[in-house]
Amino acid sequence: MSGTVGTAVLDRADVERAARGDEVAFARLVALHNAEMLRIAQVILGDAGLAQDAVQSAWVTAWRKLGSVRDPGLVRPWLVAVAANEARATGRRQRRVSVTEIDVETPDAPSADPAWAIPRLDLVRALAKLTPDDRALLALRYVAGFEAGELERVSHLSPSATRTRLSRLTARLREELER
Amino acid sequence: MTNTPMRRMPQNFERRLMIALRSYAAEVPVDTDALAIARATTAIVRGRRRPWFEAVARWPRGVRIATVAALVIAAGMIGLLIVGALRDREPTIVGPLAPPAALEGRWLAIAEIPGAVGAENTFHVDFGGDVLLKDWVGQPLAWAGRSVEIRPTEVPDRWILRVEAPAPCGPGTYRVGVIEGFVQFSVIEDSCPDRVALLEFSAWTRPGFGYLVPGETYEMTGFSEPFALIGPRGTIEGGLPALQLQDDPSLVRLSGFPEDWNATFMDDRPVYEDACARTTLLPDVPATPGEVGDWLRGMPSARVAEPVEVPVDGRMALLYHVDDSRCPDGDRLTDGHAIDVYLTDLVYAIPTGDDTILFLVSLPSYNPEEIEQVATDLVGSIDFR
Repeated sequence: MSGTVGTAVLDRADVERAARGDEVAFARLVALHNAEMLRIAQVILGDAGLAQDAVQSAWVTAWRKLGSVRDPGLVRPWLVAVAANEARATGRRQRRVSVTEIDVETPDAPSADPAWAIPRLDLVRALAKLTPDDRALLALRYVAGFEAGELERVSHLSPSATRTRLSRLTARLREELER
Repeated sequence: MTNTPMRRMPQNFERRLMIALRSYAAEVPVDTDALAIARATTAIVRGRRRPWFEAVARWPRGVRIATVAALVIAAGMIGLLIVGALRDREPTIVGPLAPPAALEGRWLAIAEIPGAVGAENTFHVDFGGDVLLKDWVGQPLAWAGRSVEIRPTEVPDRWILRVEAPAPCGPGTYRVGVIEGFVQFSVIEDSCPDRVALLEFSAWTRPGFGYLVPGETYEMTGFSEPFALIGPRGTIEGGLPALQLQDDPSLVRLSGFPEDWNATFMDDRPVYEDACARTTLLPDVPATPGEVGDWLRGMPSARVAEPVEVPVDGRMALLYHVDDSRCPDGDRLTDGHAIDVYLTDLVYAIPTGDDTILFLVSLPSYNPEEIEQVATDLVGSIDFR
């Protein structure tokens, strides 16, 4: 993750250059943040191809709006949020096509303690029952490590409402995954 | 570590969930070529913003050089003319210019202004107006000036536009073209970056789509009984939605900002008897608002609340709140159209003389009440023609 001071300084310079149209600086931002954006999109969409399409769209949005980033040193949460929003939008369109296309053939990822780990297939099934918005909330909290304030900006809910929704979500998943 | 719930050490299940989610997230291949992505991105944006530029880039090199030379000479001559004019006098704003017929009237575009949302990004151009540019509520952007000359070129539907404005913006010269119903600006010379950004950002089109503007009237002429809508005045996070006319005039889509919700007006088309099963098509939307309720309640996967009455131009529309989340395999209502139409959270059944127009609204998870209010205001504003 790029939350370190050094990366933030790198980001700041690259964001400023990229906002002025410097394609190489923009490519450095892509190199730094694309992987995390893809991971977030993967959790929301459950499909690597769709995730890549959503993240490409997110970069188009980012390129056009980089100049509006208030603090270029904090571009990482902004980019992750843009990717999450693109993935949510893609997810909603995709949900209309089918919500049952889950890759059930992929074996569970190996775990150090299989009894303790949540089986992959169960997780994928549980995620598929959630809305793209809920999956985005989970991805941003547990994969990107967003705090309440950052989640608030993406979910359009107050911090307390965000906490409540997240709490309900985890309770629902616990019920689903631990039964 | 603080005591806020979000920062506490994850409990056992949360920790397991976090590890499982991160492991699942890591399944996506991430070995991508950053430079290739960056180049693809900038190419997409350039393609959207400057189709002329891309087209010119494909011309043979000799033609490009000759064109550039001609443009430089023309720009130089225009520059000399402008400098000469400015030396003698301050820019004077005289009576409105009579533009060519193809450019007459008002044109609309959606730009992107940092911090602006929804309709605030909408601007209007009027070649014959007292000012060239107005903002989303019709306030003149006097700083951008007005058109003082529109000169035809040897190419049909292409003009050279000269703009004059008070300092600091000053004069500007643009190539203007009407291409497939859209006006496009291409700067020849302008030292006013804000004006260039606004005019060149996107293609300009006739009002009728773009973000809804409060109080503005939108004519829907393709429905069995034509009607007008008025942009609601209620506040809404993200601003009012954008109106997108489709090729089929009896299908009108509204997209909320930031693309999180949408709504569709639909008329006179076959719909599935059950949006979830999609085996039998009905020839048309049920003929009355009450029959729309019977149709919705007949879908085993949909839970339908008691309807709410919405007065519409002296008639009574019915709003049905629908929960279709139990439908396991999508809930498409129609087939074979340019855009997909789905059973959604809100179904407004609006009576016409002998038929029903449906207004289907999908709600986002945030501010659904606000959006329902805007949708209801929009339906309530309908004025049958």
